[in-house]
Amino acid sequence: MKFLLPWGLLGLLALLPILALYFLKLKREERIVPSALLWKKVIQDLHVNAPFQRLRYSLLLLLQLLLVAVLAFALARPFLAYAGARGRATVFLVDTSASMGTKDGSPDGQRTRLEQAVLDAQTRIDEMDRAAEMRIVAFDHEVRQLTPFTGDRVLLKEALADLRPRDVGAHAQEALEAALALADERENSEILLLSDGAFGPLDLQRLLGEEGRVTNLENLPLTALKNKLRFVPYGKEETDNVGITRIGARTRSYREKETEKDKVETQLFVQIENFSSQQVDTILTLAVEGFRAQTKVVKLQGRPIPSLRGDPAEEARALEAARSEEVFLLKDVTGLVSVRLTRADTVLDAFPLDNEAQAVIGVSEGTRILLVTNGNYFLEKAMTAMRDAIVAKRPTAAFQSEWDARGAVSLEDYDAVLFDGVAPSEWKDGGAVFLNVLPPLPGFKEESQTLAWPKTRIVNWKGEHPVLRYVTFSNVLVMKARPWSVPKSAAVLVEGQESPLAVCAETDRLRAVGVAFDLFESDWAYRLSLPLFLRNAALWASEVSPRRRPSALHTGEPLVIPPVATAPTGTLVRPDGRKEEIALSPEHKTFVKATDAAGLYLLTGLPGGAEAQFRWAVNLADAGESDNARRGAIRLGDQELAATPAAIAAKREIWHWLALAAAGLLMIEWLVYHRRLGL
Amino acid sequence: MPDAAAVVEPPRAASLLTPDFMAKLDALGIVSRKILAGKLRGERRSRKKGESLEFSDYRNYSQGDDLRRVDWSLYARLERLFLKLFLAEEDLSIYLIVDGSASMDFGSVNKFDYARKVAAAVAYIGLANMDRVSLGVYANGAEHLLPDQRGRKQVFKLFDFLGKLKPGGPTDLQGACRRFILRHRRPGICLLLSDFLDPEGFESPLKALAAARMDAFAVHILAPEEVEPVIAGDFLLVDAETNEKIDVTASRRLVENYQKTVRGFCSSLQQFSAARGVAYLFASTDLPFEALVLNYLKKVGLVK
Repeated sequence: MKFLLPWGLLGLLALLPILALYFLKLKREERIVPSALLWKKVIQDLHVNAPFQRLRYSLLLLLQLLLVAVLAFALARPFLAYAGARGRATVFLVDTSASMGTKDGSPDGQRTRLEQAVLDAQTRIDEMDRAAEMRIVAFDHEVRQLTPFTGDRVLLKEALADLRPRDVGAHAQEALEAALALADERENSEILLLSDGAFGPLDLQRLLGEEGRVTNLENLPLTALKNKLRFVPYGKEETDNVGITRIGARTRSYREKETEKDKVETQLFVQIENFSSQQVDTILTLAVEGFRAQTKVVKLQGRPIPSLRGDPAEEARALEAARSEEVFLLKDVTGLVSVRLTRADTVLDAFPLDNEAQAVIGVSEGTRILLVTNGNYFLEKAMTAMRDAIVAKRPTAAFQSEWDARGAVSLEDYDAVLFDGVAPSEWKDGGAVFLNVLPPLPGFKEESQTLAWPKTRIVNWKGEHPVLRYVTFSNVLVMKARPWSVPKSAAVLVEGQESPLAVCAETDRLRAVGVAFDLFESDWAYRLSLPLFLRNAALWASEVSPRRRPSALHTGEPLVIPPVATAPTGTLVRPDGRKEEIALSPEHKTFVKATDAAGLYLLTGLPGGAEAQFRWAVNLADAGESDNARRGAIRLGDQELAATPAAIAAKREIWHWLALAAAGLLMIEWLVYHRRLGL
Repeated sequence: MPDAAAVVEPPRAASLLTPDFMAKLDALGIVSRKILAGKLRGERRSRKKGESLEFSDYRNYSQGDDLRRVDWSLYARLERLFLKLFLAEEDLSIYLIVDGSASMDFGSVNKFDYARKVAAAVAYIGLANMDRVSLGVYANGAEHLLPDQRGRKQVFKLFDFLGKLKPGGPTDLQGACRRFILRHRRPGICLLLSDFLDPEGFESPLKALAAARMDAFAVHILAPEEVEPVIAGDFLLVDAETNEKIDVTASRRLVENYQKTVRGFCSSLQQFSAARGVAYLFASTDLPFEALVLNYLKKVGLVK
């Protein structure tokens, strides 16, 4: 046993006065009695009847000496070298999510939570026993094993030193599952979760695995888990953070006059939240391509701190008051839009990452649909009812001549094409809906003779498919249909008695929906399900359009580069300015991972200059991370694992046990003093 | 408390017993449970034939007999001379042994004071009945004797004697009794007034009294403070006689044990007395001594 404060042992000197007091006789009041005869007899009797009387007398002295000794030991703050226990294996599970970058890791606010955690872990590594082994596992939205189990202090410390907080959320469930599996490689292992606990409740069943299926309070695997896992919290219990927790843009193209060029109207939604318990006045500034455009002042109420939250309904109200959803209406604005949140007061934000969010509003935002038809009243009516898409119409003959001349390029301005009774010779990318015509896709075949009622009876339809959302075929009768055979990769949406009546097919580059009958050979045209079906199908098909990109991504989500035929490679510029050569495919989408820093990602180096470059706005926009108050416990299903800040300390102090023992001794001494028979 | 004796004024002769009380005592007499031989003609019946008015027996006349005692009416009938015998009337020896040790100098009602008042009352009754009263007080290691007092005239002398004494010194009941008995060999009524707190024990003096064929009474005088002490805390108890010191932490349990011991002590004294024909009488000083004399002494048959 070692002592943090060896000077405290000077308290043992207090034993001397106690001994001295015992050697000095108690100054008793003298009382004269006629005869001590009977008193002597009483005391003699007591001596006979209480053989432990003398012992009891000295027991009092013993207890007092013990009490002082225990207190002196407690003052010296003894500790056990718990961390360095022989053969003990420790897994450091370090949270590197965005909230760990909050600069309140140390009491003076000079270190981030992660820096403090790394420092603590390194200190513990320094003090580890020679036979002990440790292992570093970092996690945020992914789990990274940085070292195997090793006693190599340099390796361990270096692995820790390289850790930086990443602008991503924490997926603690996967991390803990992995850590438990890794810890099982050694017996007598423990997991130290160094985190602020800013993540949701964990699924206990999954953590416990098969053994934990039977849940009861005396669940052995649960106890074992709780014994194995220690949560070391970092940060302050109350945060003063306000941040942007959601951003999204909805764009609508419109034309004021037929002759005019398309205009774009964008609604930019921004959700801001106050995570502190105090009311905060915030200023929300919108900038377009770096130029300030609009400013709003928003007042946000405080919310109860996590440890004090109680009644769910009240909590929900408080959370609602601490949150605000702001909408900016932007007309004819394209390009990079950024929103910045600043506090009206002078409080320094310890977590600035969530104070800014960006979105890219593209030139061609808004769904554009081309209807190729020789004239179909029902179709045209249904399509023009779609308010959130621009529908263009082209006669079949005009389409065919253009197709013959330019091929697929003639359709590049549209997100989806609706073919009515006519189809191009092939369909390779983009979205298309084929009505009463076989989709020109590999594997699709049409038999010669036409099917007639009752062979065209509708047997079943796939209501859960997005194309059939709100659509029912229970009241639709089809008189004649084309008998199609479709490949297995295609999904049958509406199943006829002998042949599919509606199908859809999907690949990386295309989405197609086919309807195998003529509207005029059915009563579908009179049903409400037709416009719903057309709208669903057109929007579903248009999602595959290379023109469409999300306006804002979350950190950790991959960048999706559509197939690029013009150049084999591009240069990806990351928010921190690092450049990276990316190989592009003319056939498939290219996914770029590692978007773990928030900011603007740029793909340049494509022919066509600035017009052709891709931009992605990547934001944290994660309420879970912004709510960065340190948690007192992590929730394992309906159980809780309380934080044990001392678990990281290589020294496990035992003064509180000693203080408890002293209190116990004091009570025993009191009892002995008052129960002794007297001398 | 140690100065209790100094504070209490030595009672003057008259203050020992009030005239009213003495008047009440006049009606009483000492009764012996045994018929004891007296020295002089006294006022009580004797086993001997004497000159009282009470007829006892006849016997044949022999030469030299007092002719006044011949029953002439019987001679007239039988023509033989018979002497008419009457019971003799003798005096009674009353011995009063008072313990005057330092342990008796205690109590809110001083035990010694109480003892000498009882002694005074019994002596008064005895003297009033023409009994022979001998008084021995043992105090400060010495015997203070007032032997063979007889007649009412001696009352105030006896009171003065008692009033002048001061308690003190160790208890030596055995020595006191032995010496007293050696001086007063005639059996009589013997009252031993003491707290019996003798380190040597109470057995020997009682045995000595019983062996001397005394009609003995052990009057056990204790102060209520001794029987039920009010004491709590840490004390150094000092023996008033021996100066012996004892550390005591008086807890409730200890006091209970003490009380039990006192009861046991009284009980063993009573049993020992009963076994040897000694009448035992416990007197707590909170019992007025008048009540003791008028009621309790009657009950044990000492006075009537």
